[in-house]
Amino acid sequence: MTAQALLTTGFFVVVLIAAAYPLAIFVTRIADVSPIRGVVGAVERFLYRLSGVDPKQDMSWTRYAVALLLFNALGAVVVFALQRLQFWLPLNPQAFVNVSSDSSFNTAVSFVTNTNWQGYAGESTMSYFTQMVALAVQNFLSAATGIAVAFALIRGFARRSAQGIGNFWVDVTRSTVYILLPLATIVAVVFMGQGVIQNFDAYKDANTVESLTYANPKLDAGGTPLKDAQGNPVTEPATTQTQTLAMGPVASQEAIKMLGTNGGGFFNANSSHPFENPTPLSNFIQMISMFLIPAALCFVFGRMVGDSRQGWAVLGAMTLIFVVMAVFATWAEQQGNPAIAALGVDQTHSVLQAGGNMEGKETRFGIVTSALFATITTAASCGAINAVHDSFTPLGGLVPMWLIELGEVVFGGVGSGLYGMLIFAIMAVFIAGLMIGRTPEYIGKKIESFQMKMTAIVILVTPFLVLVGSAIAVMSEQGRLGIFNPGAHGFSEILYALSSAANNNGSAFAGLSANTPFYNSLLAVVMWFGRFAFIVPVLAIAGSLAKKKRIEPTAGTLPTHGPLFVAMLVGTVVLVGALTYVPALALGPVIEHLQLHAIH
Amino acid sequence: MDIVYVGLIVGFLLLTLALVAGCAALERKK
Repeated sequence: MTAQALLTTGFFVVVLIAAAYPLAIFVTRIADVSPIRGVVGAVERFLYRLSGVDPKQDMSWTRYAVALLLFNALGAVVVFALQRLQFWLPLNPQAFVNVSSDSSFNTAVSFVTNTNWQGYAGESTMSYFTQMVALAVQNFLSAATGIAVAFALIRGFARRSAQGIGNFWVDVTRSTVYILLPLATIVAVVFMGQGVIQNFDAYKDANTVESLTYANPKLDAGGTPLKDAQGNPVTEPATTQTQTLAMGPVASQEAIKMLGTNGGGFFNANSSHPFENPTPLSNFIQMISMFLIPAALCFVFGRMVGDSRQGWAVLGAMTLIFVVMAVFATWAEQQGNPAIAALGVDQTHSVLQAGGNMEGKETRFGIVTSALFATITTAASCGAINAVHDSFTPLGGLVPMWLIELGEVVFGGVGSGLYGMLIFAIMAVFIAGLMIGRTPEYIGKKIESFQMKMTAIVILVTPFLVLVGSAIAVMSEQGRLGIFNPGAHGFSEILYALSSAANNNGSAFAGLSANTPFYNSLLAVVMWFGRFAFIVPVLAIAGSLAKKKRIEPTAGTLPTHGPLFVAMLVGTVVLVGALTYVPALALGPVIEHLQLHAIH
Repeated sequence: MDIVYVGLIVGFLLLTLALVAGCAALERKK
């Protein structure tokens, strides 16, 4: 672990908190249900009149949940339809054909659930119209949905003897208009200043300095790649001196991709593409953007429940897990690969080279900001990548996978990170209550049987989807066909894909060929229920807590704002994550690590 | 095939709405 790595991680945390705190003051005002006056509020009022929404209506949790589900299902149908019709729609200079049914279905569910798992390559599949109107719009709306649920749960704690938890339409509108749109506009302009492209041009052909000879796959009359008797692809040598440069409105999509913790890249290479993430500064802003709103929402929680220390405690637990994981991932990548060391390759860190395991990493970013980016993107439920996670060392790759499997609560997705962590907080006070024989309470609300039943659903739904989904994939012929790397690494690729989908992250161990009807359908099921079967019990908890009176703390109340509670919260998150996934991880990255070091 | 996939989205919606109904029933029962 180098001093540069420690300084970069420390600097990142300081800048993050300095940016998140003032944002939280603004977001707290947005979460307040009282109307916003003046010209700014006029836009909001116009939207309500246009859609026939009564902003003063306070919704019960069931009504809130039904509105949320209908809104998102309709969004999925629209995204599906736009992909299936893109050939006849405008802004398609490359004349891309309509996207296949199964891929359209997977992508529609993926973007509506804030997962942004991409089985396709954007620059060779999606028109500019599809990128902007279908995908980028959902980047805003899925993030706004997450913020709305977080607002609803916070109101559950903050309100006393109330029947409602807010108005879903108001929360989504305000989150989009006042938080996401202004922030995304500012960040998009900054990205353009750094060199991220923003245009509607047709793709450009550039002459390369040297000619390139490559193996071109031979196709039959139907366009299917030919294979020899052994099943290997048949190729023929080809030479080229031109390279096609993909264009498009990238900056506007890049900003919300990071701020909304969506992660779906305009290009297949995502944030390792120089047109998406050209400089070390753009890379740093992308990292801050992923954590900005999730960190701010912790402060919003503290302010809305009337005790800012509660927000600091939640933020402290998140930061503690994040820093440990970031340091571990960076250390693992800086160790290098023993298989490459055995070939006599120098992998030491020096002024001339980054050292360590540079396979699959951009030389512009090196080891430290690649490992840090990977930790942030998987802690934050974002899924953008600036390095290939598949090429990380087994232990370095274990960090992103395990962070996803913790339930995306270490900062987590926009909104979803906070409401996920608050569910763990409820579980932590419940365990503490069992230890000392008292009825557990959190933020002055008694935690009783119904809240614990809902918490159990929340905690169990994603591990069920991940483990059962992985089992189906490895037991079926269609699932095994997608594996490029046999053995433990192949299992890791499947486990990572299911973990990423169920927890709505979207990043991948890129070695899995997942754009098949089997994986497109399986992952769509997992993404939908990983998102909405999680949100429904969270809203039920919000509704039931809002109805309760708020009791004043007594001498017997467990303080939930100090270091003891932070340690308990971290322990609960880590223990649940460890107990649920360690057996599966042992079959993948752990055994791969042992094999690698046993051979070399 | 399009109608099958749209049907699947509607099916997902109905199943999740059933979860809402189930949780609400559990809340009333407590």
